[in-house]
Amino acid sequence: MRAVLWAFCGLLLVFLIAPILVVMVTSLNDSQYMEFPPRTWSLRWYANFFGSAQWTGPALLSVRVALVVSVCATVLGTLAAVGIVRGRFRGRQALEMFLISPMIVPIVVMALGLFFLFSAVHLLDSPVALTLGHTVVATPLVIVLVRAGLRASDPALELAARSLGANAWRTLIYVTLPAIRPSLAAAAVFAFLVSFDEVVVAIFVGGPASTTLPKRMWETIRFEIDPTLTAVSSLLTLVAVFVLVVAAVVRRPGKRGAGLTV
Amino acid sequence: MRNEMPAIGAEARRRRGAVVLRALAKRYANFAAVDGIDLELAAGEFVTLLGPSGSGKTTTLMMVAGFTPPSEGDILLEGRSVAALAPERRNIGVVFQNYALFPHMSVEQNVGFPLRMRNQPSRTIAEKVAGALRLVRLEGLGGRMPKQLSGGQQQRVAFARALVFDPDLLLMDEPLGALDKNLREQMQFELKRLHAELGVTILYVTHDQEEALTMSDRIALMNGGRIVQLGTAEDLYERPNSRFVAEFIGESNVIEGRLEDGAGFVAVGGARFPAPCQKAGDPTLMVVRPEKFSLAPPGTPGIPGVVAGLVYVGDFTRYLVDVEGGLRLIVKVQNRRTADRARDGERVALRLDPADARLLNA
Repeated sequence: MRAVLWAFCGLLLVFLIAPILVVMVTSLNDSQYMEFPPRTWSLRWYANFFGSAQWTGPALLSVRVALVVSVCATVLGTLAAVGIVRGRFRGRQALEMFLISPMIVPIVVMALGLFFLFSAVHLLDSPVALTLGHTVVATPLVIVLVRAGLRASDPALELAARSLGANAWRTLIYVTLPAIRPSLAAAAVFAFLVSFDEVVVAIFVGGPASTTLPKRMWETIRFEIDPTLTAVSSLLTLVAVFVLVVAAVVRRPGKRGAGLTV
Repeated sequence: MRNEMPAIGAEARRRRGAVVLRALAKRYANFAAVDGIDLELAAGEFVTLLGPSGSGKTTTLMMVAGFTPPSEGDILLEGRSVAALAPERRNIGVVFQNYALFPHMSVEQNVGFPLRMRNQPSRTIAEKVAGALRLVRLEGLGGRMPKQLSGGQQQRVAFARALVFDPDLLLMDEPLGALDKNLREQMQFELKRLHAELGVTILYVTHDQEEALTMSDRIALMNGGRIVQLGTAEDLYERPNSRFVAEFIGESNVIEGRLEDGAGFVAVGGARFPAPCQKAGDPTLMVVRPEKFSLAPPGTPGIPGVVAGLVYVGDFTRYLVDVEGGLRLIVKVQNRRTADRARDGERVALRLDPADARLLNA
């Protein structure tokens, strides 16, 4: 019985990881074609990526957009979460549903809406449009993460701060937010990754002048078969893993204890 | 001891912090959490709000602290109304049941927080923090984080933080509720010491009657959003003004019946008790604390009864005594002499000094 369970779990893990491993191994090919397993090995497709403005341009744009999105979404989402969790006003639950609704709406629908909106205000094909679009996608995630952190933190902390002489703003800055620092860090990291990986909005509102890395990959696979794609995929995966590992280490409170819990 | 704490002591000992609650109420759509209470605390007084859960004691405290806006009434601190002030402008210290220490700040930073919020110079802050930590006997632990402290130590930090800015009034919401029994008794003692040394006015909330009886100058017993009796521990124990008070504070024999001329108080079943007076009105309840009875041999003057059960508790024995009419009384007798003890099933006579019985109108 136990053996069966182990075998099942093993199969499941292989099923989840195999595609990524295949891509990574293929990226080390020396051939013009995407062969698996490679007959000869090299890093030429990685060299190709770093040596070509076709690729480094979109990569830099992706990083820049993701950084700005991370800041904007974390600030907006945190303020919204504080209002939702600590506020006492009419229509609070309706507002909460509304604010996290972008998570439920199909991304294509969102992207189409953003396309029409930005086209009306002549913002299509600009980094600004990408940033705004990705902020819309990332903010609900921030709200959900920070909301969980706030619900787990003792509201008496804030009452104590008020009684000790801190007004509402100082309470927020000196007590509420520092007490949920791990949630804020997680929210910022996830907001970055959401933007960095996002492709649908990028395709709809981006263009020749604002091509992010995922959009560039999408175009590459449609119009040509370039093994550089496998190198980029591997790099993207490594970046994501790296960011999560760093986040887990940073979030570890004190010396030992809770690890990566979101 | 006294000159060890110049930072807090000097000003606070000039007793101040008189509090008046006037017709204070908190009403919600379909019920009143606090239903209009009047209470005055003299400067330096230790008053406890005692009551079962849902009696409105914590809501009252939250209104005084400024966390809950009252629906009616006023709160006066040193003669000026604070009901409309934000909590941070009231200069009232609050100690919470779960300590509410800031987890991301060290002990020193926690205690220094109210001083930083008052923009005091860092030199003054360091001095006052050191003084406050000395006061609660936590010297040397200033660099620790709250998580690294025991429950009792955390509670001391909470006291220090609530006292360091020299508040006019200290509010405490079940501050010892999370501690185990031994530690709780030790902290009760500490708290009394702090109160005596600082002379700060304290409004204390608890549902633990023993804590209320041993610590307070006066107790306001609350039920259903009202104060049902206000007085010293002795007032509440010896002279309860209602069945609720008699039954909530300590143990009581509450006997239903009526006063009869020449016969004393006659219980519903027919047993006769000596009554303290023949007063006007129609008292229909008599309250007798179990230790007010004493046991005498059968046939001697007293209320005849039969021991229906007993528990030996060391310094005293708790008897159940059945008297005429199926009434069962609780009787507590000090085990001073073995000869005084009665056995199960034995006939006895219960003696009662009429002055020790209390008559109530139901």
